[in-house]
Amino acid sequence: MSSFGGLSIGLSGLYAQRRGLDVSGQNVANVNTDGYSRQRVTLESMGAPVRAAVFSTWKGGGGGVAVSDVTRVRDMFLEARGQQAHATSESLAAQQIAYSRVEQLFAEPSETGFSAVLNEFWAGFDDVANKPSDRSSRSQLLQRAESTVDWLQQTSAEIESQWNAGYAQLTSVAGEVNLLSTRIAELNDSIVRGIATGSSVNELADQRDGLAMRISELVGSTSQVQSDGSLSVSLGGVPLVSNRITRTISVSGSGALGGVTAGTPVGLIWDADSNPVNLAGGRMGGIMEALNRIIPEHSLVLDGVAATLASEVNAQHRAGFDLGSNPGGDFFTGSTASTIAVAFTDPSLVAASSSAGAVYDGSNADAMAKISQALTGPDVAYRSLVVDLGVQSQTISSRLSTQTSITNQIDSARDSEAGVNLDEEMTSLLQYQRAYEAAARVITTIDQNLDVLINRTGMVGR
Amino acid sequence: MELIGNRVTQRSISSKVLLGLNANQDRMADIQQRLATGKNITKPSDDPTGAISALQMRSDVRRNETWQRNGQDGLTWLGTTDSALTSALEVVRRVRDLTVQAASTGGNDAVSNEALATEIDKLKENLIGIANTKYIDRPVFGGTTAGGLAYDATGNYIGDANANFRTVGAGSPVRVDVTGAEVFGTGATSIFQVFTDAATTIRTPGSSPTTNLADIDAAMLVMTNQLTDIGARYKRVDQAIGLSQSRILDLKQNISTIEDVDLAQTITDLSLQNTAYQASLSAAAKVIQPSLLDFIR
Repeated sequence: MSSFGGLSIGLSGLYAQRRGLDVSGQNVANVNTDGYSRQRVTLESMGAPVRAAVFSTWKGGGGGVAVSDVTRVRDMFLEARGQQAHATSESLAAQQIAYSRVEQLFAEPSETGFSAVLNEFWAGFDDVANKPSDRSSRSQLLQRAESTVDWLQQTSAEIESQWNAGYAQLTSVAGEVNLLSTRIAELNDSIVRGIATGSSVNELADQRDGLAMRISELVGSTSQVQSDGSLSVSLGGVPLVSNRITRTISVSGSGALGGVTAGTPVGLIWDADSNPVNLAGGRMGGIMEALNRIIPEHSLVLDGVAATLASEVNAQHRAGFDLGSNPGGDFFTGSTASTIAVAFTDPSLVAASSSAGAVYDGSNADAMAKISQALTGPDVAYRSLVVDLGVQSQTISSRLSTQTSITNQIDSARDSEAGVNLDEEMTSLLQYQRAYEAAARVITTIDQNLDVLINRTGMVGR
Repeated sequence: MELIGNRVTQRSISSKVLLGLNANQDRMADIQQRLATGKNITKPSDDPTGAISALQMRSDVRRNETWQRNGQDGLTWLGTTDSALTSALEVVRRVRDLTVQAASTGGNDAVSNEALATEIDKLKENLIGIANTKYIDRPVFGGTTAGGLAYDATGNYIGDANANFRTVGAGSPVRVDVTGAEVFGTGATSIFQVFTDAATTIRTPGSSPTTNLADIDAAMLVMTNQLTDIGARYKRVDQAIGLSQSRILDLKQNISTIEDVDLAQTITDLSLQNTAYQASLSAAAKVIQPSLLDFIR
């Protein structure tokens, strides 16, 4: 026990409380910073020397206080759950966007949708059946057939451009993932070095966690902190980032809607070995679902509607006779939504009659108008497309809203864990301030003691 | 300092408050959109089953409207045919009267017989005119002929034997015409030949047109039967139009029930939602503001 030891104890208290005030200040300053994790000072009392010199004993008390660490409060398990929830949300959101865009193309029920266009077309056949001799009703029919075909072609083109936009987005997201992994690897490097030199890496770690969350939103990756402080990110069981090393990914498969089949979907591959990436969700998962399933499915069904329209009308049209008493040819050419077209422009070629001699007979036109009622006709095919689309879109929307509330709950749990509470910080500030004052008082006290010892001792009788 | 239990932070409060406010605003926007468009369903996913019923019903409305149009067209055909046949029957009755007159005077007055025969010839021309009655440039007794006439000037049938049908309902199509061959006959058995024969008989001194009278009666019977038939078909088409009309009303009402908003309900929803929104706003204002800072100096 030395005379001046007390001073250093007081000093250590001043230092430690100052550090506490600093950390609280940092917390308060970052109360609104995204991704900031609150920090906490870990104080440690200094005891006696662990191993005193040989034959000596330590009879003194403790040696004051030291700041052993400034730690970041963040629950990595909660983070993992958060990443998973965000990945699922993003995947569902991307699918929901795809569905709602497809739905905009089939804006039913309305007075202007395909159903109305088709109804007009059939009514055109009825008018021809009523007045087979009238060229104007035949011309009107051909105009309405053109509108029908236009709608199919335009919608098909819009579906394709939607697919192309999705593909472009997929490519750019793959680029973003590669960029993010590079930045995580750089931060890993800084953090590992920082830990080795004993400097604070809390802010770097916050930044890295934010990037890991973002990458997991994009591809549904999982991440884990390693013993050296680095973060490894893996995707489908394969490491994307491990310490300072990254593996890049790129988009594979057909770059056009027409090339997507069950056997050759759009996918992701590892650049290093061209093996496929097992995507676990995320925005890319959602976009790929749209590119491989949602958009091609609806495009196929639309093609089916066009094919049914062409084949049913053509079959009946060939059974009839035109104004020149010649057997009717095909009414439509092409059998997909993008290729269907009206086969002729001469109104007299509409085969409205059902017998060769009777050119002013309208019964074949009537038969064609009745295709609208057929159970295997294009109207039924179109209606089932619309109802399927509606049901699927509704399902995804409700799954998304459920998932969003789950994600929000987890986020709020993460906020509770890592966020800054101002009341708490205020209390800490008071606590550290008072402790600082007390430590200063300790120094004053010892100083006064020394004053007594030095200036007033041995003055007896003076 | 570590707190046990659920820690609440400034950010978690404000993000929760924001989420709540956003959800409230979403619901408001939804109700407002429904009010603005007047529709409950604007896209298939709003209500897939409702949307499909509405689609089906809209196309049913369209179908019924077409049937109605077909029916109106058919009615005009049948009406034209009916009035032509009625005036044709008058002509035939007049010819019968003249023939009866010739038969009763015993054929002894050559001048008056000639006058009767001449009138019958004129009436025959008149009847040929009636048999060529047109509806929009088509002879109603000509079947589906492409020519403009059903009978030529001498009374030969030049139309065809095809019938015209109109679809006026889900059932089988209704025939809206009758061919000249069916009403007036063709060749040697046509009513025009009967008229010619009657005139010839009357002109022939000493002969009595009794046989001709029987032929005229037979022809009149055929025409009367056809007229009755046409009347029956007219009624059938008329009823079909009425049926389509009431069906359209029903369907439109159903579509409205499915698609259109219930105004009273939606406006009530809106004001309830508005109240909820204001409540959450004022709650947010109270929750976010205070902190320990307000109390320590």
